[in-house]
Amino acid sequence: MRTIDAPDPLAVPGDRSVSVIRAWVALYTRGLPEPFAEERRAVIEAELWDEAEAARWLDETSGLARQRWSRWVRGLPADISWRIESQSKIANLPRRSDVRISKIRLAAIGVVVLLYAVMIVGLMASPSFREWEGMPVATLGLGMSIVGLLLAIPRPQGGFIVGVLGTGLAFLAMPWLFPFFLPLPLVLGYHLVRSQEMTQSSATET
Amino acid sequence: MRRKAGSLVPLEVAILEALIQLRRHGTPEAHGFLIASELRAIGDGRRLTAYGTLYKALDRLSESGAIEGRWEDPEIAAADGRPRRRYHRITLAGEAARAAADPNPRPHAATDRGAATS
Repeated sequence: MRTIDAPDPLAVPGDRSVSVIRAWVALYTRGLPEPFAEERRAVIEAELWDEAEAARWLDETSGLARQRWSRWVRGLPADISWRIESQSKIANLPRRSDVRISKIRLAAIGVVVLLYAVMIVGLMASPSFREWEGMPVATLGLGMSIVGLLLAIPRPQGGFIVGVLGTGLAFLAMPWLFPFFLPLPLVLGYHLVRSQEMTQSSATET
Repeated sequence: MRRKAGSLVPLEVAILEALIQLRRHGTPEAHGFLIASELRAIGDGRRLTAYGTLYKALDRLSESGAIEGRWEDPEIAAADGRPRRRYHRITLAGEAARAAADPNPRPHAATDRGAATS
């Protein structure tokens, strides 16, 4: 991709095809492991450059924009299909070290679930908590935290979001319990980062 | 429509043919735009293959071992003031696949849809 902030050598006055194509490539490669995405962006960028250079060489720049639009539109189904296939390939990649590490992460998540369960049971056992006006928010926050922790096992990103939102709510309702709310973002954050790293390294290996 | 594993769609056969033709004319490996231009030359001569269709087909051929690719030396690209190209060359397996396929592939008869839905 271009990194120099200079006039675009591929541009045709009044034509936005190159920026639309770049935006489209960025969109359909979004969320894929970087080697996958970067390779696709790089080949398209080289193709656009070579196409523009050939048009200049043959003095056919007047039809260049139309040709780009046509090639882009006709290739849309293939782009979408490529994206879907790439995503399936990534999902099926063998993760050799995932089992061993996920046991450690599973254990950490289990400990935090236990901590939250103890907090809920302990708080519910207290009559003053049950009568407290902040009880619904606190309970909702703690419940969401547990849901987030469990969700994070198959879906690290979704679980992280739900868990942190839940813990945020619980913290707002009961800031004095602050130390008990620290493990959740740490554990789920670590789990999320490790999962993403492993997906990327698996894609690189293949 | 699903295709049989290992089978080639007409566009893929045409790409292999284009790479053979280019090699015959002294270009043993070719980048995407050169392949698209050659496809136009050996096809109906009107339209260049769509970006998505071309690179999806190249990916498939690469995965099947019919072609192999390499990235150009970044210094060469930088010296020319352009982005780095990915070059493709046909393998022995690709030549065998081409020989076993339709003797008269028509790249644009394959259509962009043909490669996308395979």
